Amino acid sequence: MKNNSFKLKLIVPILAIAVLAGCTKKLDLSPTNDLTNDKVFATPLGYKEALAKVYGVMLTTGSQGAGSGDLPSQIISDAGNSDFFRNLWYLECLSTDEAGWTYHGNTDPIGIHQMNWTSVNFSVKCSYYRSYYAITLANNFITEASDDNLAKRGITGKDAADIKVYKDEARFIRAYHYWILMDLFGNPPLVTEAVQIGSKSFPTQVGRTGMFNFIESELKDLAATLPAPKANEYGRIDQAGVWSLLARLYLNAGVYTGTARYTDAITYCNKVIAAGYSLHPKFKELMLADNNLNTDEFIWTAPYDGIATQTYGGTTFLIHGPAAVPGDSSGCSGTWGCIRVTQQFVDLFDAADIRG
Amino acid sequence: MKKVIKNFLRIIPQTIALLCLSVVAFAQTAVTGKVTDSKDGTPIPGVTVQVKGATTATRTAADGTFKINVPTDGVLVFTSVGFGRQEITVAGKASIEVSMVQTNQQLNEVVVVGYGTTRKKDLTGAVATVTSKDFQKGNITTPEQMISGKVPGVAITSNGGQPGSGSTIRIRGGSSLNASNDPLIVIDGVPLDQSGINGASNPLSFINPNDIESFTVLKDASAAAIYGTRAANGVIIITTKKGKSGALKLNFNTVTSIANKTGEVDVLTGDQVRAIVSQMGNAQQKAQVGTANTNWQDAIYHTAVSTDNNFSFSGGLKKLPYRVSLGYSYLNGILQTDHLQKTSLALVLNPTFFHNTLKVDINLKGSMEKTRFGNQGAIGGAVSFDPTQSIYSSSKRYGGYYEWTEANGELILNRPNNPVGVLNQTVDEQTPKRSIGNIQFDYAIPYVKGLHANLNLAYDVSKSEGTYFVNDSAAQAYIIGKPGIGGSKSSSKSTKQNTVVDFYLNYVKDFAAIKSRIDFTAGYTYNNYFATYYNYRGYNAKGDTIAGTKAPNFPFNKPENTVIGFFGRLNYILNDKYYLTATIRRDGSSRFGDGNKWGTFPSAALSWKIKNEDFLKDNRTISDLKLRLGYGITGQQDGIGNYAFLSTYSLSGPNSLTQFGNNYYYTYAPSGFYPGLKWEETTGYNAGIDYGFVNNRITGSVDFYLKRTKDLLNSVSQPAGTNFSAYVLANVGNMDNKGVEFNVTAIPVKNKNVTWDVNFNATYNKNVITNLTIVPKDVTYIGAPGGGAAGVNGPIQYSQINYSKNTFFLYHQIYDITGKPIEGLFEDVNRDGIINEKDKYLGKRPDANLFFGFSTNVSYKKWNAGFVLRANLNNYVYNNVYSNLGKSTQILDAYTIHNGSVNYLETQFNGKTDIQGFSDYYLENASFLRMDNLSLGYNLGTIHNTKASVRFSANVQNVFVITKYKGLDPEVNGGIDNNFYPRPRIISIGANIDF
Repeated sequence: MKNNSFKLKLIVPILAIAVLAGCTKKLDLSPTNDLTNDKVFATPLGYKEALAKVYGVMLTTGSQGAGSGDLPSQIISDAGNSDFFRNLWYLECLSTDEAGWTYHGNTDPIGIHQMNWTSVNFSVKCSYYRSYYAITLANNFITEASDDNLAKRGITGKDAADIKVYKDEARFIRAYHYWILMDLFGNPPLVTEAVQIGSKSFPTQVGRTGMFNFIESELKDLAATLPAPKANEYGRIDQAGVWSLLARLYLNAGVYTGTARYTDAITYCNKVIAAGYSLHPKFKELMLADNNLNTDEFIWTAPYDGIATQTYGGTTFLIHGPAAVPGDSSGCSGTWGCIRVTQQFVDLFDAADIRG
Repeated sequence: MKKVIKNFLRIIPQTIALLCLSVVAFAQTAVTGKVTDSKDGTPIPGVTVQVKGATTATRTAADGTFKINVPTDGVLVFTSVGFGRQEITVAGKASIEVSMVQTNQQLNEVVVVGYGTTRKKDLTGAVATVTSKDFQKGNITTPEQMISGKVPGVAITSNGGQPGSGSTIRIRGGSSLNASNDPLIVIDGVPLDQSGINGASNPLSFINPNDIESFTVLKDASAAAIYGTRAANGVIIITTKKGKSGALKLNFNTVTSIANKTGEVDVLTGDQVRAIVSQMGNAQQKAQVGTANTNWQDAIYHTAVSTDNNFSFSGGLKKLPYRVSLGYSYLNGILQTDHLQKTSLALVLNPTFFHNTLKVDINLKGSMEKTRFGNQGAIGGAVSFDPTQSIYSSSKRYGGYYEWTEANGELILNRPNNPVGVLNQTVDEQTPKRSIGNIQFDYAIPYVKGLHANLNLAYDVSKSEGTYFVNDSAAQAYIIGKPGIGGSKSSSKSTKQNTVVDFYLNYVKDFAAIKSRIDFTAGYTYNNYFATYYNYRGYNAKGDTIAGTKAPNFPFNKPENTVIGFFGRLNYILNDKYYLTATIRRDGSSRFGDGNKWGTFPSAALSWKIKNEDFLKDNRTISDLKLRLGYGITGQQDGIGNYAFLSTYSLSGPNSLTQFGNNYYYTYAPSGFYPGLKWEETTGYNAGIDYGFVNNRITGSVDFYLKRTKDLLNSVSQPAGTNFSAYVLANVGNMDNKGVEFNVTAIPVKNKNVTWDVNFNATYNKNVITNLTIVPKDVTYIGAPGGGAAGVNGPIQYSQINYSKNTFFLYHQIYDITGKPIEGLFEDVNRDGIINEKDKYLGKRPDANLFFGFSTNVSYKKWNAGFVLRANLNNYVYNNVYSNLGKSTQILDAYTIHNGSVNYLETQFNGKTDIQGFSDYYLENASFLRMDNLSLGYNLGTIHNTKASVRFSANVQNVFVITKYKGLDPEVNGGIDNNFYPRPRIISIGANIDF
């Protein structure tokens, strides 16, 4: 009896202490299927798949097929409408006499064409947030691809060299989106990899000139480090693409900074031409399904694919959008009947011109 | 252990022998007498009269008299619940008159609080206890319904009429928008996880209501703070029945009930629809209209008969008190095909060791359910399916049910399906099982009087498997033009393993010299919640894969979370007048990132027992008076994702690839996240008075409370470029709940034949949001969207500052001179010529702000009767049946015919404007008074020549509802009434046998 009570007296506290000690580690838990960054960036393939998303933000609206969304419902209720190219086209073309919009029951994006829009129009919101989404992913990629992180993850040799190129490509994508934002919105805030993601910090504006200078210095830097023209994989950026963007930047420099830079624009155009680029002789061939074979006119491509890269934006939108173009002449499943040319646009053509 | 039992075996015969000796050792004399109440002289039946130091005992008869054999120098002990113990020395007397004094029974009553118990009189916080004698009775299938309407500040609304379905429980209004508003529920020391059990309509349904001894509700922060990061919505502690030493007691309880629907959603008849078709229909519709007058609601509901049987036995096996209970119920829903079969077993052992220094409580509860869920799609279908068609067709296709078909018999695309077919052709069966158990050691540490060590080891495991089958010919899963490959077949499986370890020390000491008592507890708790959800592919009825679908990316998911807490509580009592309770809890949670994992939750409460002051001590009118003040900080982590503070990457689907070179690459996208995520934090203040008058014939309490919630989660926009999502859930908001609770229990009549008791409680709660944005009180913020309604494009509720959560946001309807609403015409509030969001208004809330409960019970001799009334005031309901079905475009769309709401006959709306749904015409004051329960019982008493005593009971649940609301039922969680499983009226009869 005495023995037993003694044992039990000990057992209770011992059990309690053992359990106590064993449990505190349980506060650090991670999900089963979704991966944290350390798991994603553990392999070179993980880096490439993350880079694929940095590029992919311009190709698709989301990660789970056409109609899925990267942008939350508070920005746009119908994610299928949130494509990068489609919204850029709304802002650039619907606001001019080039194009009109048919769906009148729909207040958005008809307001763009009627020159009546505010920050709540989804095209405005989508353009802004999608470009910043790409910039955020690029910043994140740049951080994950830092030398320190590569060393920490034991990635060396050719793998490490490849990832350094990916990192520069991410910097280009970031510069490209800043150029879009500077062009559309004037004075967008500058966020670089120095800002920790999720840190609640308020980014600062650097002025249109400040942004111009940032983009220019990034591109000039990249012009030295990215692969030579036509030396990178299809769909990825090379030096010729960087020169092209520099040329576009300089072309409009007078608007962005007050100082015209036409000479610089010519310089970089010449570099592109010298690298073996010219206008393709048959315009129609640029629009065909095997246009990936074109190497003379396409400098940097955004490849869409009917199976692998599905979207309601991009070329899907360009082909389905025009009203009254039946499927058998556009080569697709039919027309959405939403975009038309304006009367003013048609009037530009000679009555005898068969294209009009 | 074996040795211990052997020791018992050795002791018992000796004990029995000793007891026997005592009976025969002294000269005996017969004593008669009568026991009366000191207050009014009425006889008291059922008083135990025992010879001190012996086993001889008897009970007083109905007239208070007794007769017992006593040794001439013996002492008689008189005991009865509710009266003070009395000892009378016989000293040769042949007749003894005893006058017993009623005691305040509460004095020695013990109340379960977090991690331990306390004497009820020592309570300083707002704590309510409901014990089994006050439970709602009848066909109760889920425990929380037993205390509905019984506790002020606790609103319990059943989620519908499905058998075993759960309830929405709100203690003092609920303190969250985007996390959980549900209280923490603790069963015998096991805090349940709130995520529910797959395949069970309600996780609490696994607890057999017949096994429950009491509910303790910790309402204010000072009482609940010991549960730290899970206590902001209050805590409900459920204690189950324990074993009782003594002779074997058996109890059998059976209830049979009949449930019927109380009404129907008012829709048009076949004739009315035919008239509308002939007046307005197109040629196609005129050709389609049928000749029947089918009441589809009659066709899908039926009278449901259910039984509930429980058998329990308890007693002491040698010295081991035990209780075993077995329950079996078969519950039918009023929706056809819906049923729930439940088997439960509970085993309780309460052994003690080493001269009662080690007490062990073992509780094991297991429950198995077998459910077929009726397809609730039929509920909406029955309201809107064309009443001119009959249920069955002449053809055998589609199971013989009438369906919309082409001339050739093929199904027409996108038509509603026959609701009776939907019901009968869906076989959704689940077999969840759950077991909750714990073993608790309470050890009185030797040499230190008053020091106890407590260890509680508990588990909560469940496993659920289910299958879902729709046959190939069923219209709901038919593939047009491709017979043979339709239908649906899928399975589901999940398991849960939750573990709890608590260890604490408790020290109680009285310091007589300074008239003080301290009761100190300190301990540690570990709670781990681990689940496995399996993902299976869906197949067609034949078991083949379905084109366009793919196998799930991951075969299973295993979410897990852990809470580790350290806690302490000090009760200090001075002179039985001044009470102080202080608690502290430090909680660590796996749901938050580094720097936010740990939080501290303190509380303090003071109370002053004014009754024990000299100036009140001898007051005959005021029998109790106590003032309570409490303060505490609590957290709310339930409803927050397990890993929401982390950014996690998910791989894209196969149609969202990026082409590099000639290869397509899957893409990794990170989720938006909020690394600073933490629990919502509520600071609560409470001031209350407990009172008792006229020897505690009238008792009750009044409480005033204020709950201030900060770090309320709301979806807030992120500065562009700083997060992976433009909106994330962040801790930004503030919300207040304030209110008053009043409770009174009175016993107006108590005498030999009649006892009448009455309880009334009232609650006022006001919920106000005070901030929702990063920049405090941002005026440009339109509010957090709340609920939406069918057929309305956009939310009809918003949570906005200075308003209650989920306030309705609608247009002012304009009416013509006859009072008829004009379709699409609303007040242009800002007079800008445009009807837009700026003309909508916030004002009416879905949640009531006044709640009342009233229960009464009368017993007269062997009869007793009672009822429970409950009322909610100022709760508003949006009648979505009217708004969605009360228009001609609903009845006649471009192709086919549906049924519509009778509201169409009043409004004649054509439904051609899509903003009509935003009209406040559809918003109705749904204040109501409901009789929850009406009961009648008859106690037959002991049956001749047996030890069995029998009670019969009859109950009606959901007796009536008084309301102005025009829909089916005014009690709608969330305030949007659409396709609601109707709460039936249930009539039950039962018998309870004790022997």
